[in-house]
Amino acid sequence: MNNLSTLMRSRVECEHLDLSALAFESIRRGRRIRRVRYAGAGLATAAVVAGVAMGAAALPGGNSAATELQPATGSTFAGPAAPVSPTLKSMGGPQSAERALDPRGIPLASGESTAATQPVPLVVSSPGWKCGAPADWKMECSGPGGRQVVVTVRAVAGYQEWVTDPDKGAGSRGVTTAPHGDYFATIQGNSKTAQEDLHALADSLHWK
Amino acid sequence: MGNTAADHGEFASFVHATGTQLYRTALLLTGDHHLAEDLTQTTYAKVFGSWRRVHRAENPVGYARTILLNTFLSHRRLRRSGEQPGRTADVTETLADSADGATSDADPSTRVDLLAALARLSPTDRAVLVARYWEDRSITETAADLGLSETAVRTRSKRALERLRPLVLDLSPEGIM
Repeated sequence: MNNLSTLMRSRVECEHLDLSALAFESIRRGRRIRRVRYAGAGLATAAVVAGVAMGAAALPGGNSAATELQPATGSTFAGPAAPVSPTLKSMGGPQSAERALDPRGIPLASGESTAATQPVPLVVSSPGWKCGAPADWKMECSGPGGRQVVVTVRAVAGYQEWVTDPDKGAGSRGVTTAPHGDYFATIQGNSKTAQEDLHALADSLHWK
Repeated sequence: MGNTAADHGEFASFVHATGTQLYRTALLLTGDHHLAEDLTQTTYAKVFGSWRRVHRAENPVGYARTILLNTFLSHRRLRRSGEQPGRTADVTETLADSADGATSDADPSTRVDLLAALARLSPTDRAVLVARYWEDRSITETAADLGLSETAVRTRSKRALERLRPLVLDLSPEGIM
């Protein structure tokens, strides 16, 4: 006669599972869970932002967010890109939202194209990767296997901050290129993009 | 990002270290190899979904076990109305096979009867027995794991063992609390 504990151990002691297959399939399904979670968070954020923007527009005398982001240069450009990105602000550039800036923080001359239409001074030429049109000195690039990166051109004045601040380029996430003239670039990827991919992309950049 | 490969490696090591135990728990809960495999996989997928938080936790194994129990119970709740009749028929059939010795391996008294007998219990009673007698959890821990009072754990455990006893010939009286 045995107690239940002994009987249970006796019953399942020969039961085994292919643990490698289990880990592989769990990671695959777990990634889907993460994607759904991130997508939900993104939608929630977008809903909050939209709600705040609508609330601000509804206030007496208030302007819509889109209106505030319009450059006051008389340019006919009406795209979504803000003339002053948070990145540029953090690098000590002019804080005014009235003028479009290049990555060095220099206001563009009146009539000069805004950041959204200004071509970035580099080209990504890595096999298998395709990049969209640059916007606000950023380029989104897609690679094989769902890999995605954002290449951002930044003013060289902020380089030391990027290579020493652990919250920026000195951390383990992303890659910071060496300075090239007045600029340098940072590359950050999604969860499918390994650090080696980022380094390979950094090596493939051609500066104009 | 850069930590992805390391995350995957750590997670795979975690699965290799704990997978067999968790799968056996799932098997005792579900009584079916395919359901047990699916339950184990679902559990680990949820663990991987929160892996960066889980692997820094004090007891990742306990976290995984709790997810497994909760997944099992919530899944059973969702499917309760449609699944029970088929399950009863399967159990009856399995018990009959066992009595004939037709499906037995090394130890006929425990190889088939135990899973089939466990399957006759309610999911919560089964979870209580598995936590208490397979996982060696205390009454207090089992109550916390399953969201029950300690009195409910004692009562369910006693009642479940009494129901198991006539079905599992080898179950000793001391198996009953």
